[in-house]
Amino acid sequence: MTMRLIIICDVRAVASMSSPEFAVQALYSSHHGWLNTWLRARLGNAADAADLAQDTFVRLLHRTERLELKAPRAFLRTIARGLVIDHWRREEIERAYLETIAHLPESETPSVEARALVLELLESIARMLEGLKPKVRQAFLLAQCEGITHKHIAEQMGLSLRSVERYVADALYHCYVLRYET
Amino acid sequence: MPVDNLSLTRRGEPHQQVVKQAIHWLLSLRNNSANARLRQQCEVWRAEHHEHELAWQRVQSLQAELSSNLRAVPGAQVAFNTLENSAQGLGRRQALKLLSGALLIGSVAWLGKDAVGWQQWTADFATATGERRGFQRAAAADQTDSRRGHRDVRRDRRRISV
Repeated sequence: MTMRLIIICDVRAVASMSSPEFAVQALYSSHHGWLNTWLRARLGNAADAADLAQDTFVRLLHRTERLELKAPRAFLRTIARGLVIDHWRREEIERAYLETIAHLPESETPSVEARALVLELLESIARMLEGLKPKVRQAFLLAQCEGITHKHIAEQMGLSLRSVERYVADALYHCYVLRYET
Repeated sequence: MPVDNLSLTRRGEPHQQVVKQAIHWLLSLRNNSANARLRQQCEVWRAEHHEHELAWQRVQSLQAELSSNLRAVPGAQVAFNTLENSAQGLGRRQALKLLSGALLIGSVAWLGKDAVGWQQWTADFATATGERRGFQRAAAADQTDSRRGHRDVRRDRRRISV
């Protein structure tokens, strides 16, 4: 993977020295080692760090705007941090899901193929709910997953009905902004 | 009423307030599904402006999508438990590892602070911060007093430090 990326960069750089690919190549050769170390400190795992370092540069290749960077490491760190969070989210969801279904009777546990689809679904929902305060997220999930009335959620969470209504509305607005305005 | 997304997008996105109103209508109707009058009032609101209708359509489809995705997860409470549990786990990891730089600086400062505390413990005069000035003044007083011969240092300290 590492070699392939460098070769792609080289070929394109010959075609146009000022192309974004050339800029990515320059970034790659000066900062790849540093990024790898930065990621390894966060992930505690050399293989994952190498993968995510690679993904960071692949992301850059897909960007269309010109890369004129005053602080290249801060920029790389921003992209890499997003990838680290995606990676952790996937891990946490898988862990939490396996833990949850471990309590189910065998007849109710989904097949491995079905699991992969469910995990993908859960990941997309989790990404959408990220950034919500815990109580807002909980109230919203109770309303959405279980279809419980707001009054019932208020009782269950020890909140006023007014708070639950506000929380559910806030969460839906948060999702709206993510979906339609970003 | 069909919504022409393209032409409406050109005219601009629904205003934040309109989106919040649409959400309010949706949740009110959800909690009072049998209320025909409320339903009718909502329809009047939607017909008032194309912006209202667009916001309503979007909010409703978002709600339908979220709820059908969540209910597609088999097993009672599996979606809720997994999402809650993983959100907490992710929060913990982000706090611990992404802030490791900040934590490191913080703990060095804390250790430094502790070192000062340790110096105080091992010093001859273990005083709190507020007391230190009193000690310095006492020392200064001792120096002036020493010119006039010996004195009871402890009495001077008591006199000088307020």
